[in-house]
Amino acid sequence: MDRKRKPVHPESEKPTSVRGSTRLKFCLLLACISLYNAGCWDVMDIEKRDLITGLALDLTTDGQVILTAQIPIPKVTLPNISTVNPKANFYTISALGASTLEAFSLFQTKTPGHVSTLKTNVLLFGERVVKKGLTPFLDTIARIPKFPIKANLMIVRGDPGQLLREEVAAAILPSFYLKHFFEAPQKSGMVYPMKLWRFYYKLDSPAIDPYLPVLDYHPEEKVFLPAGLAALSGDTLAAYLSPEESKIFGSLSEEDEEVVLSTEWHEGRFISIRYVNKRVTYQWLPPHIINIHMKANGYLLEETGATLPLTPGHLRKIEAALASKVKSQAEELIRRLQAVNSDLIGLGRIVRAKERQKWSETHWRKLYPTLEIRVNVDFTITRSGRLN
Amino acid sequence: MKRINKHKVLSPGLFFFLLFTPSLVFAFMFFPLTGAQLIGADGYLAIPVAFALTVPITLVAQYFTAQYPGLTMIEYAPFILGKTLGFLYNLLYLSGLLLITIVFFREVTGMAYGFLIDRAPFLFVTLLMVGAVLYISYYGITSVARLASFLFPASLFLGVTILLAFQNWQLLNILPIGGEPVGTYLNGGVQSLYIFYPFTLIFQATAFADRREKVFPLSLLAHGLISLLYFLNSIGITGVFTAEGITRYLWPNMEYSRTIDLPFFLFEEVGLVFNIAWGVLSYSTITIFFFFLAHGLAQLGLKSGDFHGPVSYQKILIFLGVIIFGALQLIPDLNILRAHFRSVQIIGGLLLFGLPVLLFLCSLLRVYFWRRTQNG
Repeated sequence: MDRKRKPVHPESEKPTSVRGSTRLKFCLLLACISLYNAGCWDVMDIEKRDLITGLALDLTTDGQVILTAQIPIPKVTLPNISTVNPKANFYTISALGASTLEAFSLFQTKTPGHVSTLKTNVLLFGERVVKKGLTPFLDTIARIPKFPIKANLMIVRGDPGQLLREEVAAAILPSFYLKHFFEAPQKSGMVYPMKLWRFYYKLDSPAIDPYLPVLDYHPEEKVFLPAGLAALSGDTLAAYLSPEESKIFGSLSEEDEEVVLSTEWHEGRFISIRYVNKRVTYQWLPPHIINIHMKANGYLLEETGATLPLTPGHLRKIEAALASKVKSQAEELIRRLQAVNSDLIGLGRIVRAKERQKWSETHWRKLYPTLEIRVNVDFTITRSGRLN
Repeated sequence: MKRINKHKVLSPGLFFFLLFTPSLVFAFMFFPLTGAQLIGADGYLAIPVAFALTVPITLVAQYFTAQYPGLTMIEYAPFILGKTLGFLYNLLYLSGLLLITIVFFREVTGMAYGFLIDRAPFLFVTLLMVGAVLYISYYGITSVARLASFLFPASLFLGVTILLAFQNWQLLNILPIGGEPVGTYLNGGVQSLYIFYPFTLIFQATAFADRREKVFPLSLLAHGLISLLYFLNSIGITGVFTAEGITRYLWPNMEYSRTIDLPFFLFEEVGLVFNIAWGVLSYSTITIFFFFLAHGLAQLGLKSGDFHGPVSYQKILIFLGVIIFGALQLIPDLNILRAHFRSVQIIGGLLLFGLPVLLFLCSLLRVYFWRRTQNG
């Protein structure tokens, strides 16, 4: 059969030896690239690295920066190796300095190996440093390109360095414990993690203020506890929010969390609702009013009176009770935040979107405490569980 | 010495990748800075403006392709401007290409030092990189174009990463849309033109195209895809970091990719993979720049009438490698580049886009006067 010959590129008609040589050169090239990618000068055994897994930053009473780092000991933290004393799988080192960098440099002289921040999962701040304003103390960390921007930030009311030294019941590194704690989906609505990158953008944007989760430690049970949120105004500590207030903040803001809300809907009878699929809309009514409309669907987790069956009338009553409670709590929380000039929800973005030319940070800081912020809440219970 | 006949060596696919890869990666890591700094929350609108301003460049290239089929700009510029002016024109144009090659090369090494390597000597790293680039460029346009097509999945990875990072996106961060005076957006668009500077390669690459009728649609496709990707990326990064937040970073897109949280610990750090993907595409881009620079310089010495013959550019390539290696040693850090980036934008724009437009106007005048002479 006369088959039409496909056109062949002249280069593919090279002799086999030439093609083999080209392949060899190509392999050599790949080897060169891999050499570059691995960074032959940068290879270092894990034993020779001092991997910081947790870092605590605070000020002493005389204004010096105190930096504490938690460093695991690789040969005892590897799988299948259990130590008699779980405390011995890490050690902490502290250093003092006039600035974060000075403390960090001194800290490097105290460690035996090459200090690396690649695996820093948590960054704890003491109350003093946040009260003074975080920006100057965070600058060194922000300039380290390899510092994990997903590190979890927290504030501690006591000594943050001490928390890094605490032993946890789960017998793992305290910093790993905290990382898992903040990332577990079941904790959603109970803890509000603050990643470093998120903190930075809230710090940089004049139209929203950052917050920090508050961390506590229970010495008898050897566990860490979330203890609400710290609201910042700019980079400075403005107020502490209780866990209950934190929930309300979560439901009002764009923080994508689910929360469990409880209220008394009938005399002596309480309900709990897991609140999901929320939609919050914000409306700016110049010159002084912002309407926040919250529309949420949730499902019933508990009704202590065990009313059986729950009629549609009961459900409407429950929804109304819950909406009324959230509304009053939300308005109270907003008033508190306005009093300390902390715009955690980012309402500044709403006003800026509508009044771009007028908007400025100074103008917003003056306007925010004087605003009338109204909250409307609509709740719908979509599921009432297994019981009718 | 191997001599490559330039004609009809690039299939439409290879031609597309040859334009697409350099334009995609050239300013990819830091371009959102321009819109955020100049415009603000809706800085992403600078991209469509820059796209609209670059389309005429493609049209000019199309015009030249039709007028001088099979010739690169280095070859037809002397026809239009005369021998001496044409030579000067080409020299200026190639110096623009050399400028962006050095700037980009330094950016790549800066990125590698920021996130991948710490202690490897700069001299060794640049020597290795220049050597690897020379190796591929030495084997001609088909090699550099095939490498670009081979690495296309890395471009897809960049695209997917951009979309994945939308998981932390907030609408309020990109508002208001269109709240600034029109002049602000125009200024933003003009100053964002640098992201499309590698498109200037079209003036040389069309001469190598197999099917010239596909040159214009393929260029437009590459241009449109890149603009779309940049636009999405710009909206995404502003929605995640806010305009003020973007300006904090030296390479905003690197940080943008690092915000991704994948389930099941698929990748603990997407940013590193993102960096590698961009790195290999950058390598391909530099090979393309090197080839066109060397080929252009080789063509400078051609006598008229030799244009359709093969060009020996390999010796020039090695000489060019030495020059670029030396130039890289003279730029100690990225801060110097960033501090003078405005100058790079202006000089690059004038040499790489301004000159071809000027040549186009000269060509039109020449045709006009020729017709007038013919008529009468």
